[in-house]
Amino acid sequence: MDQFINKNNRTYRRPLPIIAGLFLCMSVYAQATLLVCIPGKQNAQQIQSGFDGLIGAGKTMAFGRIKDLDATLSASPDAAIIASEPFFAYTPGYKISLGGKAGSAGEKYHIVAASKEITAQNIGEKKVGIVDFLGKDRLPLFIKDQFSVEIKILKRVNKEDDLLTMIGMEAVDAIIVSASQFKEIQSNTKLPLAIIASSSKTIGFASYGQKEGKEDENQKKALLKAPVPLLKEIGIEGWEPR
Amino acid sequence: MKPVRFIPAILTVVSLWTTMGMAKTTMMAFMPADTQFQTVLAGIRAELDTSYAIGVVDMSKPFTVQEVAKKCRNNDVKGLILMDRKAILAAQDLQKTDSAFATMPKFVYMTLMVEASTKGLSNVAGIKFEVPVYTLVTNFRIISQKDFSKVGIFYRKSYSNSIEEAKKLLSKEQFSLQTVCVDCEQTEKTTPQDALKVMKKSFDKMVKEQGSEVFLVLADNLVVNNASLTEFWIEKVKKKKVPVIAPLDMLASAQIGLAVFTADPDLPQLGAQAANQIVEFFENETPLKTIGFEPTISIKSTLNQAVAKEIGWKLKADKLGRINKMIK
Repeated sequence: MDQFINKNNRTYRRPLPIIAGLFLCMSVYAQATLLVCIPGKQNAQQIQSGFDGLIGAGKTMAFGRIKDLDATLSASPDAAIIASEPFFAYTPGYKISLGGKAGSAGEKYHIVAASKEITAQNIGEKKVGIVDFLGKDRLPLFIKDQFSVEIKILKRVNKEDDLLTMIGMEAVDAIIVSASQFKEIQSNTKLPLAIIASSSKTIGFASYGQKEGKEDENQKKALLKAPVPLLKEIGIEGWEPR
Repeated sequence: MKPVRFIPAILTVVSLWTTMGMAKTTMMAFMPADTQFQTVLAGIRAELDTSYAIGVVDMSKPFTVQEVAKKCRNNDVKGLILMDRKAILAAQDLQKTDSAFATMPKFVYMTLMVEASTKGLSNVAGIKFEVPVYTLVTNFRIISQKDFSKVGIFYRKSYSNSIEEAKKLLSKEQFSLQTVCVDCEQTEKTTPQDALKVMKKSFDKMVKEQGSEVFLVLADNLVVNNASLTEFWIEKVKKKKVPVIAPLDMLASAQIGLAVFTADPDLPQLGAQAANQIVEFFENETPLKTIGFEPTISIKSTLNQAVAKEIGWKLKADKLGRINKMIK
């Protein structure tokens, strides 16, 4: 029975199922040994079901936003993570065990603009759009490290498709994209897009990082057997042990 | 009396105490209780961190300005989130009664014609709720095999500025917007029947002489209504085999079957975009004037494949993954 009526004839729902649900959620968090977060494609559900099949149901959690990954990390501090390579550069305590490859081991990132008035010299004062693949606090660090610039107004989006709309609608002056994102955007537009700056380093694709001292060889071996369609969902073609 | 009954109440108190204890910035959202507004608010909350707390004043229920002002003061509210026209009117009343509300930042969402609707409000920024013409046209080209460039559109005079802005943006994508105003030559108030006459008179000319390849139907009751749908749009589209795109997913539904492609705002992402504006103001100290009224960026799209097939409009199979809802 889910409901009961008190002496004032008011109906209440039993709180027990809610509490049980809360404990169930907490136990799933506690058991999660692999957290996956590759923002931009809106495919967290497909990624979740793929890794459930590979690692085991209830042992993985897939997210579409870094904010949700960060929030879960406190409940699963020993969990391994699949995220873009720079995530590990700005998240201490993790060692990359597998690096994703897609033809190469990584790609350049570019600052791209549709107007000749936007230059590498004045970009710091402009509005710039980017897919939020690192979170609010890590993104400015990444941009500073790779482009030696601090962007005054950074507009973060969760969907790659929104980058073209942002620059086309002039909601931003420029966008920061990976080389593959740039290629996709160019195939969808006739805007005169031009690269005004490129990252100082080649940036790795999705990578598998394990908490130092908490390495799980079995999980690593299971990931090496990941099917191609699942790897495609996280933007890679295979793994390279590090 | 069973003690278990108190558990939810205790949890709520603990949760509020924790939230308020950690909160540096408390905001109040004036909004109706409808699901779509709740979705946007959930999107805002999901994107903001725990240093923000957002209370709600339900605009669907009766309230007095004094009650709302008291609630804001008691919670040390630092900013207002206004969703829908009634919320804007309430904020205008607050401004008149208490000068603190005049200087308070206000963020306006889920409101059509937001710039006109917020005239009289001070310290305001927000997001235009309409899906931009640019977004509709460019997204339809991405999924279309035909590289079309001429888009026909009927509009009313009060949309002139938006149409001019769309023309400018679309020209950079090498589109030409061919426009016909449905009420510019009317001296008296234009009725849907008057607009229908203009559309009937102009449509063939736009297709034959100006080469309109696609029509964009605005969500405007002068342009699309029961009479214009049955007497004009559906018949014309089938006869001329010209695809219609619209910022209203109902027009792509199986029941109406007019539009091939439609787009509506993606409400959770609208919330995320709104949260970005709030962060810009409170954390990066960007002035509200600089933030201004941004266009809606993220959309949820619908494709009616049956209509596309009927009019022989071919689509790029490898791009259809972008579509959120398919009607076969």
